[in-house]
Amino acid sequence: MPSSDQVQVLNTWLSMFGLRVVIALKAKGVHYEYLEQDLQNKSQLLLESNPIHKKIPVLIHNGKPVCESLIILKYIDEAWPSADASFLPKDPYDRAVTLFWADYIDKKMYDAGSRIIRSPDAEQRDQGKKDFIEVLETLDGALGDVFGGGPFFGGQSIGFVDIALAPFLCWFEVYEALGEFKVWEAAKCPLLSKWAEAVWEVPCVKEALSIAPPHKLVEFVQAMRKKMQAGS
Amino acid sequence: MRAEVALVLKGVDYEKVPQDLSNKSELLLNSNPVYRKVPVLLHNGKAVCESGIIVEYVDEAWPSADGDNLLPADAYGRAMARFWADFVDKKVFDALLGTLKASKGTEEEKAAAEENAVAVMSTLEEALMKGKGGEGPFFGGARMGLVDVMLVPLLVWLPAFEELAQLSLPWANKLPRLEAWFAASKAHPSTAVLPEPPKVSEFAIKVFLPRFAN
Repeated sequence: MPSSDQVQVLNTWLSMFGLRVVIALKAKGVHYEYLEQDLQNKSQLLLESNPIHKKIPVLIHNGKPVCESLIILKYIDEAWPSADASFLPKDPYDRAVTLFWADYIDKKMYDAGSRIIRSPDAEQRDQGKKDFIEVLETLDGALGDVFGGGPFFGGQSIGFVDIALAPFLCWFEVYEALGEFKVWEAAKCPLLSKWAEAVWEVPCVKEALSIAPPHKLVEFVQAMRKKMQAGS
Repeated sequence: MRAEVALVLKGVDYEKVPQDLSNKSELLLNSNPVYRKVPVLLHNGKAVCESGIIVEYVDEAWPSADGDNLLPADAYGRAMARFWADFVDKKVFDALLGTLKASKGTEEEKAAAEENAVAVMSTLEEALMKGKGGEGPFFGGARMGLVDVMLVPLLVWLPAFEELAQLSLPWANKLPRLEAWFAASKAHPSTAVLPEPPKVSEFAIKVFLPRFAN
């Protein structure tokens, strides 16, 4: 599908889920228009494109919206099929395993990270930290046992799980600042720590993650916390 | 339930291995070490976990001879089906569980929970109306598809919730297509494998209500 395609991405720089979509489009070489959204003041386009959940990210392809980041990733993979940039394996069983681990990230990573950021007390934050470290160590185990050790979950090149996980890396400095720990010291992840370095250097990932520079996220979150503490 | 219905729809022979979740078997713990939950599909010894993933796996591993699979062939149609399957998975059962939980609470809580349940069901009604140009009775059109399979547990859970939470949904007024979906799904041969609602009510009483005791 060539230049007659119209592709828009509705996102905010604060969403690791939206960055997945950006990585995926760049990996496929698809031209798109990036529309930064204000979630405090939702646009007509967002409300019309995702009336059920009213959330980002949304991919709009020739006027038709696709919602939910992992569903969008599957759509991008299927709508722009390419032999050398396929996100999912061909074999149904391997696909099911890959999807399982992407789903695991969705179920566990965001929640644990959020608890590090938002917990009202030290006890809950520490539990968030513990759970976050456990998630990383589980993923490290999977990278070794299930995905052949790397460099990527997708093997020699990035795939579905890499795209699902990479954007969280932007938030590690935030977790570290608020949780008062160093991720790769606290979590025993010999494979995953190497993965983190390698994936960030992949051009489409590097470009996408530049939308949410870690130090800017830290500044943002710290400013928000000050505001909340002052406001209450 | 979803895994079984998917297998029946595809005409796949399978062995059902009931699990005692209060005393988990070696087989379960080895097959699903991450979550230790059911359902798990074992295909020639290889484990697939998480019901949505299992259903799509069944669709791909046993493609239908006539090309009419649980998911449509076009990328956008697949994205829509997956969206609604995700909605069913994340919102529908939670909303119903909410009514059960609220049944132990204040009148306000009960009203709010019922309103939420009605809203969620109304969203499904809309989806039935818009999907496949309103051709029904299933989300998949004339034949059951991914969303139908994901929703199938509702056939047994809803009567249980209606009884235990005294939930009354505005079927005739507001949910005619969903009502038709119920009738068509119940009558469909693939759903013969589902447990009987009374058994489910017993289960709900034993397992869920104590959790909401506070």
